[in-house]
Formats: sequence, structure tokens, C-alpha cells
Amino acid sequence: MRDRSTYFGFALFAVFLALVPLTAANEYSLRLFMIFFIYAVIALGLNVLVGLAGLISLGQAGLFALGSYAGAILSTRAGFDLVTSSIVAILISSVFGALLAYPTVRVRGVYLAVITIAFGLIVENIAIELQSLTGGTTGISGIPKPSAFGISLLGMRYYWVLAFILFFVALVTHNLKRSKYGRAMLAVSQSETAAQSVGLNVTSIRTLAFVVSAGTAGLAGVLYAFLNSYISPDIFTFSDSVRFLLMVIFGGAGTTTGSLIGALILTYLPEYLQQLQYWQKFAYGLLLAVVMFVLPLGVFGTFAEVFRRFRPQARSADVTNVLPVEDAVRDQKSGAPGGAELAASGLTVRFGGLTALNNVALKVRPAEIHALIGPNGAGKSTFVNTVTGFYQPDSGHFDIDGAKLNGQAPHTIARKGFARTFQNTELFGELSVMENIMVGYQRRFTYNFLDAAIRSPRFNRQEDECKTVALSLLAFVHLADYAHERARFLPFGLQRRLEIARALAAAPRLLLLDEPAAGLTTQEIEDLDGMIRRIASLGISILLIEHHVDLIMSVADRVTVLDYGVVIASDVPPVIQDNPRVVEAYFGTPAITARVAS
Amino acid sequence: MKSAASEMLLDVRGLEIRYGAAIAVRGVDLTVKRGELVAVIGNNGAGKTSILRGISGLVRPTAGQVFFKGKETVAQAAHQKVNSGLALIPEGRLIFADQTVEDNMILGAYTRWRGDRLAVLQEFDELLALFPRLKERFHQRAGSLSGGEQQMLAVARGLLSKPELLMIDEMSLGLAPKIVEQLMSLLRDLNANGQTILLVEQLASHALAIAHRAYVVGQGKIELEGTATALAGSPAVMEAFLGKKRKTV
Repeated sequence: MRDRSTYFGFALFAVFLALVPLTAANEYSLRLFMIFFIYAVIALGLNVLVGLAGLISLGQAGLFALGSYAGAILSTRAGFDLVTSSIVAILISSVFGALLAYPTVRVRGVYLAVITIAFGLIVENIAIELQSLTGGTTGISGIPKPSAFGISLLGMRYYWVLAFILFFVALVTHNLKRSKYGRAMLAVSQSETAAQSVGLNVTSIRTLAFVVSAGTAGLAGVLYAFLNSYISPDIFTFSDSVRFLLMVIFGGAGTTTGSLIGALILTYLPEYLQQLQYWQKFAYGLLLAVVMFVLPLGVFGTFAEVFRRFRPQARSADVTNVLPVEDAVRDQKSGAPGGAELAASGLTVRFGGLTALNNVALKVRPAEIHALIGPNGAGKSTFVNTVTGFYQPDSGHFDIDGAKLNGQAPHTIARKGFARTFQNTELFGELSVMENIMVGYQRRFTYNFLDAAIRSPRFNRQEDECKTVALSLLAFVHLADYAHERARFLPFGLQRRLEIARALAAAPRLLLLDEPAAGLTTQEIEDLDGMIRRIASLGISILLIEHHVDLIMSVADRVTVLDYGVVIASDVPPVIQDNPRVVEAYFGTPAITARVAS
Repeated sequence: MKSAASEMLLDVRGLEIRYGAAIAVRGVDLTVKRGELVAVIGNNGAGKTSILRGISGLVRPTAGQVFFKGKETVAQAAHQKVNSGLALIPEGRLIFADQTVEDNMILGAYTRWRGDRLAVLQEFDELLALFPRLKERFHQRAGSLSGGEQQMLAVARGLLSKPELLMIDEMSLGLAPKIVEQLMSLLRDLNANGQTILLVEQLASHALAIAHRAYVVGQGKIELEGTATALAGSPAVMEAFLGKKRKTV
């Protein structure tokens, strides 16, 4: 159903592109429409960065300029045609896009915005000062008429070229959004920590988003140069960067239709407002402010949200025909290697003067359920964060099946088959329950960018597999009724179960559960008890951090107790329960323990 | 069981809360008299947290009335309700991460800091004696505390505001059994000294052990209500929330 509305949307868009030239009254109005095409290409690319990856660029005019100047210089001096100069321009702007992505390793939000502004200003300044190449403030004129492979593309022909390119860019960016790449970008923008823990390399995903937005801006630049046959620095100012960002936000960030609508309105609006003469800028500003206040998610974004609220699609999913869970968590390609062994020894972690972990040794054997308990602040979370790569140990080491993991990034450790849940839940809040699980599946995909762009058979097959696995896991954790609900609307206890499903979607060999029973009722804890045993029976090793004594004593094969960063006991549950040191530090008086466990 | 004073402090009538098309709370009636300790128990997704959010003004109910000290307050903003003596310790450790443990506690006593400082400092000592962990880390950034320690801080901060009605959502979340026991007896002591408490808690056995009365919520409605002793003995509650008898130590 969703796909049908997509086909319908794109068919409508194609008809629109074909009909407009018939209505164009004169050369000028047709040209304005072609300008819209070019801006829309920029907006669609920028939407990948802003709407999906959640990053901000206020230097898009700089990338637009790079493409434009590259095209102008190559065509005037070296006789490149539309196709060859476009390819070079896309390459150049993409390289700069990748460079712009580098600062995201350190900065985000407004700080990143400042860096992109600086980039735009530098490009503008170089265009003015590097006169020998760019013609300085007078710019470059006499750009040849557009042609490709010796065929002239004047007038209406150029219109069709632009219309085709816009349609193509819209289709590709839309497909991208509905692939593992789009989901990964959304995931990274919503929880970097969780994204890393399902094996996503956040730096490369952000770089990809920057490259897509830069490449499309570069392409738009060449198209503009050939349309105008003249370019100068005043076309690529900071206020143009602002306008491109506005197109995305005004239309509705994250939606393809929104970017098109935003580009359309912000291309035509200044034209219509010209009759207001010196009130033009005032009216433009006021209109933007009012629209964004009334429609906070942008024109199309707000419309889509209202539509979703009042015509909700079914929340639940049909899970009558799903895989049994043992098939869902078995990776087809790598087969079933069985549970992994996690071994840590001599692990010491210090924060300033505080020694959070002191010479800790712990071994989770294959397919074992190993519980880690201890008073609050004993260092359990520090241990978890260290073995998942978020903290670096000061000394000691840990490995999976004998392979050393010290110093590895969290996403690398995750890709070794180490999945986890989070104590305070780290879901991708704006994604649906189903999509959260699909992000967990990420490392099992093998299709590439091209497959995603054209939705190849390989893409479709793997996406179908992913959906089947996601549905199976939904059924396994009893969340089928919430499949299409946004994750942040789930009650806390159900969010925990969703995290388990997301972790299982990665086909892990070792699962780390961080307080999965917190916030659950006794009945729900009994369900969880069964679920944990079931997961272990699939051959997945489990490290369980918990406070619910009866759950631990019931499921754990072995219990390790931490207090003040030191292992004070490690044994089978009955022995632990009677250990006086553990009783003193953790359970409290025996009488109370009896009550807790009853 | 202590006898509760008779003045009606909180009177919720026909509370309904919708999120878009979904109905989270449907026609809930609930009362808390001054001096009472009332517990709300129920499964995840039953609507317990939504009820507290509706009472505290964090979400605007779609229907129903919330009388606090005899005055209808449904239209009031959350901060107005706090000023009139109704405070919520929310689920999920919402502490001020960049400030120290001390600052967080002072902020909890914000409305009393000027007039009542000696009493506040006295309570600081009592709370720090209860949570030695917080004492050890008194001058450290709250964000550097472990999850359970942050929960302790959230509880301490809420208690310091000394509201007429204290509402607590999932106090035991992520706390070691020993600490849960201590906190439960602290609540019982506070209540014995006159503090009115509305407690949402997953550990039903603990909640029922200290409460006077309790409500069982399911699918956004009150399914059962009664004295805590009666509910703890009811077969329905026992099966759903107290679990089958397991081996004890």
C-alpha cells in the first residue's frame, strides 16, 4: 500500500513535469521553471543530510559554486560537454563534501553549522580573488550551449534533460531513504550510541550523507552554468545557502515531496513578491516566520503528520506466517557458529581518581547465561561500556573467542557478533518499532549503494528477508500489536523488549542484557525469564546485568558479583546466595532477601 | 495500617488521555486523602505513567477533572501545580547531568531554600546517610553517576521539595534490592510523619506492603481498587502481579 502511493506520487510528478511546458506563457516563465528544477536537485540532496542524517549545512552554496565553476571552466577552456563536465563537477564537490564531513567526528549542531558557513564563505572568497581562473567579480561568461555527445541540447531539449535529471535524483534519493542507508542515517541522527552498538560506523554514514548532498549540489551547479551561460560570485552567497536549507525545512525535512514543494515555493515566492517592491524582503521574511509557526514540520511535513494522526494506519502487524525464532536469528550466510566466549582479565578502568573497575576477570562461556550483579555504582555499567568499546580500559584485556578486542571501536566489536540492550533504553525514537528491528538487521545486508538506488532484485530479496526476520522477532517479543507505532510512544517496559528484538536481529553470538527486568511486573518478569532461556537455547551466550534476585537465581548458570569495582564472588547461584559478603553488600539482610524472592 | 485523615487532597474524576488516535487512559477515577499512601500497580502499557502525567499537568487530559485541595486544576500548567504543592518524581532519572550532586539536591529544595534552610540541611544529612553513595560523590557531576545512583539522586531531589502530595513513578527502577528495601521503609516513615504519597510501582509486593490503598490499572482503566491488604490477598492480583510462589532463600 505504501509502495502503491509511492508509484502514484512519482507518476503524478512525471505528468506534472511533462505538462508544465505546455502552460508556460513565455521563455521567461519556462526558464524560471528550469531554475526550480536546479534548486530542487540541491534541496533533494540536502534533505539527505538534514532530514535523514540530522546534520545541518549552511555552506551548500559553496558546493553549488564548486560544481558551477568546475563546469564553466572545463567547458570554456577545455571544451568539455554537459556529460563530462558534470561527472568532473560531481567528483570535485563530492570530495569537498567528504572533507566537510570530517568535522562531524568532533562537532555537531550549531558548531557544525558554523564550519559549513565558513566553508561557504571561503569558496565565495576564492571565486572573487582567484581571478585568473574564475574571472573575479565579473565571473565567467560565454559558457557554451549545452550539448552531449555532439548533440545540441538547446531550448526544450535542455528542459527535458533537466526534467529527467530531477526525476532521477528524486527517485534515487527516495530509494536511498527507504534502504538500509536511509535507515542507518535516521538511526545515527537519533541515537549515536545505539547505532554503533548495532554495528553502524557513524562516521562513514555521516560522510555518505555529506557526499550525496555535495554531489547533487555540484551537479546542480553545472546544470545552472549551462542554463545561464554566465556565472559570477554573487549567485553563490551565504544567503543562497540559507535559502537552500530553508527549502528543505520549509517543505518538510525528511520527505522527498517536502523538498520539492519547498524548492518550488521558495523559487517562485520572490517572483510573486516583486510587485511589493521595497516591502518584498519584509513580506518574504514574515511569510516564512508565519508558515513555520503554523506548520512547524514544514508544509508537507505537517500535512503528513496530521494525516498520520487522524488516519492512522494499522498499528499492528500480521505475524501469522513468520519464521520460528531460531531461523530468524541464524545468519544465512555465516551459518550458525554458536555462542561466543567472552573473556576479560585484569580489566582496570579509572576515571580521574576513581577506580571504577579494578583488575576484573570474567568469563562468559559459549551459550552460558552469566549474570553480573552488584550494588549501584559497583562498576557494572563501566564493565559493559568497556567490553562494548565505549570506554578504553587502562589495563587488562578482553576478547571474543580468543580474538583481542581492546582498542576496537564499538561498531567493530558489534560486528563480531556482540549485541546489547541499554539500561536506560536507547531506541531510535522517531522510527517505528518495526524499523528499529530492521536497523538491528543492518550488518546482515550485503547489497550495495547501486542496488539501493535502483532497487535491484538483490535489494528487494534482502529487504524482504529483513522484513520477515523483523516480523518473526516482533512475534517473539510479543510486540506485533505495536509494529507501526513510533518507538518513543512505547511504555518503558515494552521499549526494553524492543531492544532485545533489535539486538537479536543482528544474529548475535553474544547478547548483553543491561537490566532487562527493570520496570517490569512480576508476571512480565516471568515472561522475560522464559525469553532469556529461549535465547540461550538458540546457542547465544548471554551476559545479564540485573537486580531482580529471583530472575537471576532462576536463569543464571553462573553469577559474578562486583562491589567497588572488584569481583567479590563468582560462582553458581546457590553458592552466591549464601555468600556472606554478597549478602552484606548487595542483598541486605537474609530476612529481606526472603521477602524479595517471594 | 494507620488511619488516614479524612481531607480529600486529590480527586480525579473521569480522566481521559489520548495521544492522537490512541486512548491511553479511559475514564479513571482516583482519590488520595491527606496522609494516605496510595499505590497504583499494573502492567506495562496499562496507562499508569499517563495517569501521573495527566495529574501533574505534563500532558493535557482530553476529558475529566483533577481536583487538588478542592480546586479544579486540569487547565493549570505543570509548574503552577508544583507551586501549589503537587510534585512528581518522573520515571527515568531526569537529573541535571551537568550540575553536581549537591546542586541537584539544592535545586530540589528550590522553593524552601530561602526560608527553611536549616531544615533542608538537616534533611540533606538524613538523605546522605540513607544514600552513602551520594555522599561519596557529593561534589561530582551528576551525569557521571551510575544509573542506579542517578535514580537515588532523583528520589532525593523529589523528597526535598516537600510537596503536599508526592507522586513517584517507578522508584525502584534499576536499584539494588538492598536500596529498594531501604527506600520503601523511608517512604513508610515519611508517610507516618504526615507525607501524602501516590506511588506508581512495578514491584507490586513492595508497594502493597507499605500502601494503605491501591488501584490496579489495566488497559487505561481502573480494574480493581481497595485496601492494600485486601488487594494483596486477592487471587487476581496475586496471579498477575505477585507471581507464583517461588523458592525462597
